[in-house]
Amino acid sequence: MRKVHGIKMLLAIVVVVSLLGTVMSGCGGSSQPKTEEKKQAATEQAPAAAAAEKKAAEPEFKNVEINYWNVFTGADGKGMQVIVDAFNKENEGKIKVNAQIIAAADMYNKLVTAVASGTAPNIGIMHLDRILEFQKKGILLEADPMVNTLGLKESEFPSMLWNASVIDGKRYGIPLDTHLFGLYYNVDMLKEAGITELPKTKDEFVAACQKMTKDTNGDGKIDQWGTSINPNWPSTGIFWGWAAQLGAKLCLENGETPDWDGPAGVEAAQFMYDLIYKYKVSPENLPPDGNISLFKQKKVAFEMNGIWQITDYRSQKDLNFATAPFPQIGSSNASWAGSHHFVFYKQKNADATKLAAAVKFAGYVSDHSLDWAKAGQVPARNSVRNSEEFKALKDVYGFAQGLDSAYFFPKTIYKADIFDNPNPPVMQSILTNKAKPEAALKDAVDKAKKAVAAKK
Amino acid sequence: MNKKFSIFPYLFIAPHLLLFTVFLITPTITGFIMSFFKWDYITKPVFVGLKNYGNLLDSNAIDYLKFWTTFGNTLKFVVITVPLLIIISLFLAILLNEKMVLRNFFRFTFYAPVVLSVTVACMIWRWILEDNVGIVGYYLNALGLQRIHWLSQDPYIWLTIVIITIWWLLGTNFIFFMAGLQEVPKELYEAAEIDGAKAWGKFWNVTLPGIKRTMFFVLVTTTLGQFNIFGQPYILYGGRMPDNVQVLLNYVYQVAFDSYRMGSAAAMTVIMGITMVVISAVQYKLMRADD
Repeated sequence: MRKVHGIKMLLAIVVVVSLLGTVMSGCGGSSQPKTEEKKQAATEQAPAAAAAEKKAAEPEFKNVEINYWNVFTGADGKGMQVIVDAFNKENEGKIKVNAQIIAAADMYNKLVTAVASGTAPNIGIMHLDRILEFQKKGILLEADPMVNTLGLKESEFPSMLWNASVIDGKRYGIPLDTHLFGLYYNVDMLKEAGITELPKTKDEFVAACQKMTKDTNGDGKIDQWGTSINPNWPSTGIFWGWAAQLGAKLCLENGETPDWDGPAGVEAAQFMYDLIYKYKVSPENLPPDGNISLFKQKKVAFEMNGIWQITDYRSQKDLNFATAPFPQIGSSNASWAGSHHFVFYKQKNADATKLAAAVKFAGYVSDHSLDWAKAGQVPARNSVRNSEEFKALKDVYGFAQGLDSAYFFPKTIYKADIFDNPNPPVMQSILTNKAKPEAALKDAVDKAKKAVAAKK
Repeated sequence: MNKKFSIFPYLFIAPHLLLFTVFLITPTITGFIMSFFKWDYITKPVFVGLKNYGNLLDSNAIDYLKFWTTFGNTLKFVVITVPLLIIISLFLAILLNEKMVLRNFFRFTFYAPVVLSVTVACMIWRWILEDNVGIVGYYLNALGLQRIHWLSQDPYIWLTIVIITIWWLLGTNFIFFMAGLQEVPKELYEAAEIDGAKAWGKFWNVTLPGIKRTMFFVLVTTTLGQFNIFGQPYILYGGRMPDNVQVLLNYVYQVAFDSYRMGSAAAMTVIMGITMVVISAVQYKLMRADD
């Protein structure tokens, strides 16, 4: 009998330890979603028809393979692949770019180890608001020489974008695009309500929303809304934009003190709350992505969201929508924005030819960023943005008109601690009417400051 | 007894032992060691002694504020789901142990969701329960009832997570109980019937004692498994979940991979691991008490 017990005991221990192991093995358990998606750029084996003309200063490339990591897991990934394929075809036998799409969070976690182990890609896409962090980690190459090689100048870019990746006088990235918040609006609803001009102030915005909020089928319930404020994403993006319009810096110069609990932040959050509960022009308690489904169902007139949402709305065939810059409620028309930059990674064994090939590729994509715009991004190059072809992309162009007021996060290495982690839950509790803006924002900022302190 | 050393048994367990060592023992030990260091994933780890643990008790530290609330959320989840996962699956197993029409179909139906990943399970339910386009909302509306904000209003958020979890994981316990029920000798039921036992009496006096070993196994594995909750809130809210459903592993993930404080994350999982060992030990003691 004792022996049987011993075995049972042993079995129990093994079970406990093995289950425990899954937890302790560093949250790498199977329950983790792996959105990671890898793609290899398959160059077509077409006969080398058109040999690209060679530039004078260009080194001789022969079967140079470079690796390129990007974060375009959405529809934009296809747009990028088209450009990569075209580049590979044009440079067949000379340069081959292997593009790999990796979900942003995974890519940022891999970068440092990749550089340390000598498996870093030659070129990659990085969000502007992460460049400082990775520059501090010392894995980025200075990009001034690359910019000189390509002959890119400040006059070809919006200046805030051009200067955004300059740290201590040195450049670390080449701007590719801007993705910013803007306004999607249902053309038919505006027409029906007799609204010919988009609202320019807070009061006009509320008035327009009130005009379009109504019960269309007479069952006593509102079924068409002026706008939709989702307690979940993208409420934080809207909040950052409006808070900046009302005078918040979001984060002070020191890069570690958030100020979105100040009067501007409180006013922005209060206004978002009011749209739901005071003016009643937005449905309450929307589920994640509920704003998107409502806009596609033609139940919402004004949808504030990022430009990346464009391809999804385009695919809704009977949805008659147009785009415009982010609505203005404060003294400026700031809209929260991010930007993709090309960066070059330090290599364990530096290879000048590969680097030159990577630079050539970056230049190519920049030159061809009209194709990139079609995938729903505002290209950084002025020449592309001012072209007639770009203006013909009406929905993207609508966003591009707000580019001058794009508001990027101030340079900080604590982005996750001051924005990404504390902001979503506090917006959820304010907008589901669980907490008052002032107290909730103060509490969240307090936590954010403590999270920054914990890293020191 | 004279035992001679033989290499063969070790060869047989070698494949598993190898994987077990590489993927479970090593990370567990590394994690434990890591919990005494400050490490940002890049620069050299700095030894900080018990500071990472101390932070969990220091009311001025972010980890104190977040650890206890998120750990509380995990415990709440364990306390709600474990009994339900056991009671419902046992009930279904007993039901489907009887001869009935479409028995295999039902057995399959209850087991099937287990093969799904947490992502798929959550996405299915997210669309079923979606306020505006979900089928549940549609029928509630058709019946003249208020639509329920399953994913954005208390207490429905928790209810949603519990429903998904039970639907998704029921099958595992169900299979174990089915197997356990097969082992209960038929004669015991006959004897009980002769003694005049009704359904409840048979369940209480024959079935339950008969599947005791299965029950112990299911109880321990379910409890440990539910402590690991991570995916449901993470997927349902795309990583940006409300505070009241942020569970411990969500926070640990945030600390480790958003804030790059590997040491603090490790320390929190060590505490979680110890809690799980203690709970399993208590369960073992209780179940064995009258063995």
